Amino acid sequence: MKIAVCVKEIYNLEQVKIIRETREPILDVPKKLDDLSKNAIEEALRIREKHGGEVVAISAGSKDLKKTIKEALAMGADRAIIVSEDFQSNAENTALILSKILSKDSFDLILFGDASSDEYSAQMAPRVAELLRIPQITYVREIKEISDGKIVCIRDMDYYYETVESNLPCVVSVTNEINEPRIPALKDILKASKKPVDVVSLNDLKVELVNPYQILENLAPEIDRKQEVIQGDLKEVVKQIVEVIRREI
Amino acid sequence: MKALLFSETPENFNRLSSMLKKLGLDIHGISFSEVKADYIYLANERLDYPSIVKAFEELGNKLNPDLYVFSSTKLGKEVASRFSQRTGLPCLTECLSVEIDGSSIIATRYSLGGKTLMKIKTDLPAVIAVVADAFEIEDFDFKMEKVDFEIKEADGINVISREEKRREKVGLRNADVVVCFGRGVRRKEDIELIEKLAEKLNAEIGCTRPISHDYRWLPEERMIGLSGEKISPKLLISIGVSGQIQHAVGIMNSKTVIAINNDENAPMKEYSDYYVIADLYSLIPELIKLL
Ligand SMILES: Cc1cc2nc3c(=O)[nH]c(=O)nc-3n(C[C@H](O)[C@H](O)[C@H](O)COP(=O)(O)OP(=O)(O)OC[C@H]3O[C@@H](n4cnc5c(N)ncnc54)[C@H](O)[C@@H]3O)c2cc1C
Repeated sequence: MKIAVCVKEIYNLEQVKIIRETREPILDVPKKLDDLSKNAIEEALRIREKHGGEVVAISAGSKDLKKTIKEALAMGADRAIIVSEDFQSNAENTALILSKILSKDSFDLILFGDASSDEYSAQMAPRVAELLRIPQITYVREIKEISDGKIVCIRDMDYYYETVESNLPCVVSVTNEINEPRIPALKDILKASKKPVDVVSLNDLKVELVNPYQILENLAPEIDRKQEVIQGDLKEVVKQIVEVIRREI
Repeated sequence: MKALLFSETPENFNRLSSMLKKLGLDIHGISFSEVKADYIYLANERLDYPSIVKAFEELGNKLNPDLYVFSSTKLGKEVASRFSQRTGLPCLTECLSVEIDGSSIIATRYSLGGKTLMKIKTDLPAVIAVVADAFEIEDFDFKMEKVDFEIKEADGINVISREEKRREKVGLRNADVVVCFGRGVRRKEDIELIEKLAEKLNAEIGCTRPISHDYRWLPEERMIGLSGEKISPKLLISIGVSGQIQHAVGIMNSKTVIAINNDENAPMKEYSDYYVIADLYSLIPELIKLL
């Protein structure tokens, strides 16, 4: 099995602070591998354990990606192919870049997280599948079986579960619940820096980037919470809570 | 202007057709059952993306709509994305509001996991997937013309079986008081504690995503957050919830928030009016006694 896992680098959202006056986010924070990308890597590693083969992490991101991609390698991906330069980021462009990289090789299975935890738009897997003209199985909660050039998955949809079969190659996007991503040990992190990372340039890929979207604003809503801390003697604490409850309802 | 709308449920369909009518659009809609639209393409039920994408291509070519609209369900988003890629039209999913601005649309959607609300503009024709819950069903004068329509089978995947999820009518969205719990509650049996408290307060019970989706202790309708319900009670009591942004975005419109957490610095603090630092297992029984 040759498995590609398309992963995304995102801002460490917990560290994103908001400018009080303007409500703008301060994006000067470290980046990290998205949680759902980790679910996708984990699933790929489990498939490799069972069926053998290779796991290749693929990503398009900023200059920081050279560092961020190590998280995927530390988890156990064999190698990575990345674009690591500034470009107009949108679903169209990323899908194009990923599909160009993917089409240079022949993967049996291409895994994604079902959405990313920052933008949550869930477009990438279907877009790449369409560009590669292969089927997609999105929102997969369990991969039941891979054999004879076919894959069977259980999808976790809004109103139903669905068991679906597709021929390989195929794009699969996984949910947050499909597995518990492993946390790499120190030795895996050290090993990661020796794994091959192929950095390709947008020039080499010859992609024509587009920019159909205009962001008019991106502001945090006003959060005006009192943040009053209640602690100490349990009896007193309970009394105070009851007072608040009585006042509010 | 014309919209082509699809939703797999009549409720979402009608919410979205009301929203579109308000924008002044003529609505052509593909549906599996009776719905409200100007032109209703009553179709055989097919829930596989290849067939729906193909049906949209076929009708799209015939009607040339300005806006292609899906409900932002998982099916809606996957069809919208694939259709957008096939046609080269721009696509926005998880839209919370939509307005027409000349020959463009402006949509709002969450960004940065819900930390911010993004206003984003793109030219028509465009594809959008809209969170249907954000809109009410209203009484408009739809033409209600029926058109026979068949969604033809298209190649792609093979659906082997489908199992309906158990769904519950949950009044979270309109509840005055909500008690929400997270992984601080360690065992399924312990939910009884939460239920007792909720009963005392006449509250609806909500939960975080691990509770409903990982452990399946509660039905998914009770999950609050980016991928779940958005609530606006007078009082929210949040118990053993860390307050990751993807959850917190669902509680922003609560009037007063009391959080109970044994970590003195969980992110939940920022979203609380009263942040109670205590072990829920010692505190809740006492609280129940006093109420
Ligand atoms: C794309 C995406 C979308 C998501 N959408 C949602 C969503 O819509 N809704 C949602 O909820 N999550 C969502 N999540 C998950 C979210 O990021 C968090 O992982 C989740 O909300 C955490 O749930 P929790 O607070 O129950 O668990 P934890 O983060 O594990 O927090 C448990 C808390 O309980 C406290 N605690 C433990 N023991 C006790 C005790 N004895 N007494 C008091 N306090 C105690 C701990 O201090 C901790 O703060 C999403 C994630 C992704 C990636």
